[in-house]
Amino acid sequence: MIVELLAALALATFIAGRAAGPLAHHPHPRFAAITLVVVALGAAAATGLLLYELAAVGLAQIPSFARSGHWSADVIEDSLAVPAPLGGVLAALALAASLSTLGQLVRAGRQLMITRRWRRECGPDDGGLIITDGSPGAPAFALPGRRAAVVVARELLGRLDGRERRALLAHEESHLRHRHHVYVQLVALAAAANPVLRPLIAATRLATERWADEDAAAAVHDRMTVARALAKAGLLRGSGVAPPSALAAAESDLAGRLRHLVRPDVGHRSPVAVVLLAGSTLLALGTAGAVAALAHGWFEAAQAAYGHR
Amino acid sequence: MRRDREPGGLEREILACLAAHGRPMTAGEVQGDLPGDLAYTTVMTTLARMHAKRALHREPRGRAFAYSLPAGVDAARASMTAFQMRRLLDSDADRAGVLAQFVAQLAPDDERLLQQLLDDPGTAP
Repeated sequence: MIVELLAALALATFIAGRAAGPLAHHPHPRFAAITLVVVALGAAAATGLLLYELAAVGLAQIPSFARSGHWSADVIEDSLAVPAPLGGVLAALALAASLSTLGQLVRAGRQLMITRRWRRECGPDDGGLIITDGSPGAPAFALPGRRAAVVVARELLGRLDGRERRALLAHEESHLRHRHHVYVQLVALAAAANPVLRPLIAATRLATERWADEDAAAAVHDRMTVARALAKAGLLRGSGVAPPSALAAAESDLAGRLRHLVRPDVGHRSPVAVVLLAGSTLLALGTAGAVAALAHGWFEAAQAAYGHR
Repeated sequence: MRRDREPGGLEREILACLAAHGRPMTAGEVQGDLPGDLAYTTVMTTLARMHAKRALHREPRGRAFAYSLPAGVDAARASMTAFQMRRLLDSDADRAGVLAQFVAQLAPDDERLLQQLLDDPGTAP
């Protein structure tokens, strides 16, 4: 029974990981981004719940625990047949997942602290726009937080015309207004709890970038202007020393974004992907919920049996 | 979307315009360089307001003013934080960073694609 339950969870999260990629090319990137976050959080919650529940059932058979908890270790043992050693392994996994999630929180917190400190060093009033000269090294990005700002390299601004500048600003302002960094961070947290969910991070990132691209296109009423601004920024950035291995196989994010900008009809709704994502989340949560309900019954029976000794 | 309705949007556009040209500009010159849906008076009053907030310098030019960015507006370069920021932004392996870059690092094929898009807009990627 344990094997089946864990396999169901593994399968569900694996399917979610595979179905995430196509969704990032949905015609409505906002829908894609929200769906991916919900799926990621649901699958991660189910993972944590299931691990902790099974670990608890396994460890509950240990006589000293059973005595202090006032339940019959035998009844628990007969119920789900989680051998105590397996319970220990599952407990270790649950702990690892929790520590990993905590680690990701700390990492994100540290990054936010660095950006906040840098923001302070940039000086008080900048009208919400920080102009850099060669440092810190990216042509343009959005700085979230209480004193949010758009950061752009002077060299990039010099290469854009008025409409392209507006498109760039609108793109970054969209990130700030919709707090896209929160979407990505939530998915990163979920992936820290269950690494099988990692593909959802890139998919969420692409979805939020395309979301901002769409907002930018609406601001200047022209998709090609956004595409040109992207192209000029990309050429300024230059190609990386070594592309991440994932890019070698698939199309890069930038190429994908340009494709959607130049030909808006290129997005596909991927109903199969949506159904798979919804189904896998429900399967994962259902598995965890079922075990929770069963375990509740077992513990009640075990406590009753203890009382009748 | 009218820029003067987006909070801070027009101010950012003006700052970007001045930074792009790197020289003092009058309200008329700024309005000419921004997309055409902005009224001259809107641009002028925003420039004046930004000057009052000390976000811009201005100097007389004829009967008008020429506005410019205050000196030293670029971020501190040598500090430890700037170094950390650069590392943060360059580490593309960690795609779960808190900062959303307009363009992350390119794949080798991308440069050709981008140049093609700029040279010949008709060809779709």
